[in-house]
Amino acid sequence: MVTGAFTIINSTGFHARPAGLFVETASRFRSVIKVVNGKQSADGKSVLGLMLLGAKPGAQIIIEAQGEDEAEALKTLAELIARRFGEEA
Amino acid sequence: MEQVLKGVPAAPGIALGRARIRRETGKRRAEPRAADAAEELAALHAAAEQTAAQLREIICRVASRTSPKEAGIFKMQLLALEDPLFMDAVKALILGDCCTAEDAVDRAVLALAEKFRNLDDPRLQERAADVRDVGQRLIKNLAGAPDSGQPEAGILFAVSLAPSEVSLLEPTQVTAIVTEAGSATGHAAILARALNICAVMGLKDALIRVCEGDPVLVDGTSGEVFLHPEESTIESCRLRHGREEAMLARLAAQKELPAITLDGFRVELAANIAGPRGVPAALAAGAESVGVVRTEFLFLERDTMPSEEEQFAAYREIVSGMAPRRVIIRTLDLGADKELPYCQLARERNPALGLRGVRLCLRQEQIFGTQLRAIVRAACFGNGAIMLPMISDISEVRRTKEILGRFAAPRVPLGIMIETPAAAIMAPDLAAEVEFFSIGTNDLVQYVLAVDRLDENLADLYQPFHPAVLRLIRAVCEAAHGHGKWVGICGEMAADPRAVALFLGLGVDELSMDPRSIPAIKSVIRQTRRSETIALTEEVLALNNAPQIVSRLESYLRQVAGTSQA
Repeated sequence: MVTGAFTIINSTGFHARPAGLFVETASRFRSVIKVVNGKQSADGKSVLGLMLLGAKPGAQIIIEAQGEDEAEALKTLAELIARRFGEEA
Repeated sequence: MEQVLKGVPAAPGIALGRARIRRETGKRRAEPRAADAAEELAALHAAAEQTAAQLREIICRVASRTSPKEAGIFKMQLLALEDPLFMDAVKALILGDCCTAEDAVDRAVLALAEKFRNLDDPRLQERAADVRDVGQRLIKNLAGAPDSGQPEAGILFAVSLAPSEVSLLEPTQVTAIVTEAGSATGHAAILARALNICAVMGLKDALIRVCEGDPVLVDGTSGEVFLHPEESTIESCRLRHGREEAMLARLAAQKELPAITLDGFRVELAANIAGPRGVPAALAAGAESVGVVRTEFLFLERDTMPSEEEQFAAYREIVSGMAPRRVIIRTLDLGADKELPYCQLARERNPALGLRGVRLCLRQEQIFGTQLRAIVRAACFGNGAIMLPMISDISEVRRTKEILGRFAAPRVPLGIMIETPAAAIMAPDLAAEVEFFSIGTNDLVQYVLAVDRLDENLADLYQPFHPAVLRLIRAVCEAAHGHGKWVGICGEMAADPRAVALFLGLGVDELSMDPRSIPAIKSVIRQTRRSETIALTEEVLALNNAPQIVSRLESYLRQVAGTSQA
């Protein structure tokens, strides 16, 4: 299993669109992906679960990936967060 | 007889037409399917596939009619439909509680919607509406009910409209929508705006007041709905709408143009705002930055002090919303004339000369430290800066810098307001301590002239163009520029077209005002020659009374406007 901690830096946090993009990206991988925000965790392939984490901008989240393509999955998701989910600067 | 109802303006524009009322049909299969869960699961599966197909069609339709952004709403709904968190709950209810598929969907949606409502982010709370939208669509498909067809041409009234229902409306047929539920930030409202269908939402009892076929006038800009409108109401509404359109067109034409004089001197035009809601207005008006964020909005009308997180979230929303433009956040500017239940302030005989602005903050270091931390954290989400109000002594700046120095965070530019005579006179020394000045003319005038600006009896003595004020402003500008710092004007004078020539002559770098004033000030600047204003400023500052100064500035303004029209 690989894990990484990331800060959500887009302007709205895990809102509908960013959560949707996260799920679309996570679903491209076979690995099981879990997202943890504080005491709560969610399936990284569940848009409802991700939104219900209520992760706001500035929140520290932890992503855990487990499976054959875990390293690639974590790297791709980290890039998505760093790109602010494609939000304009 | 004409009747006016007031709701929430959700999508701008006006529309006149006949009321078309859509009542909830609530079609529900009465009898459960034969007996076993397998059949319910099979029905659920079929309905889910049908729902997914409909959503895909809506996505294509919305993407072609509006933009990919709006289509994203339904992509999210499609993901929600296939979400294990939702589907597994529905299946468990069918298998475990022997529910019909409809009941299972209904209960799962209710439970999920409740979870969304419990989130503390209002925009996420509204996603409950999307979950319900998906659920309703599934239930309709389970019952074999068709999508609500296109309503008759006119104005659609409903208790609520789901985002997918709005997406299916034909703007040439349905010219406006009025709903009892809903808000301006919901997905239904976003879609109405994208489709150019004007909308008023949150109008309680709308369906009780209106009858099918009633003539109705909807003003989506003001949130007013007129039943049986008079000719005169329609006429004045059309006129107002026409003026708004013309103003928007003017704004749009000028928005991207810089505030630059005929001979190339550029001034930054900034907006004064009081919270995240001001950002769209500032951007729409073409503001190049935010000159003052009044942070009092976070502190007033509440029983407890806003937490660092709450402040951080609000500041960050503004800073990131304006990025890469600069956002100057002014620290709390309150005094004993305002009630703060969580911070007991002694009554003062004269609050204007009392414990207010930075003075109060330095006595309440916990409130101040929390606010400064929140600003510093938010600043890096764009281009943030801090500004201190009511400075009258250099030690106030130094103590604030000490507090800021304790944070392990990147340095954020620090500026001060010049609004006391003491600060204006000490400007050369203060300029060495900070990055910028913003002259708060409202208070500066009152303190320099010793005239209470709120006392109507003294209104004739409150003279912003008093030579004492103007000469002091000149000294502050010279002090700032002498230290290589920039200086701005906030306060009502910044939005006074008569003062533009004066500020250009003094070389003021920034003017910050209500966003609505920006277009007018910009057009004056774009018609003026700075070389002329330098001579004019010399001339005006040599005069010894306000009436003469005002009359000279007014005649110059007429001359500027006259040449540009010729």
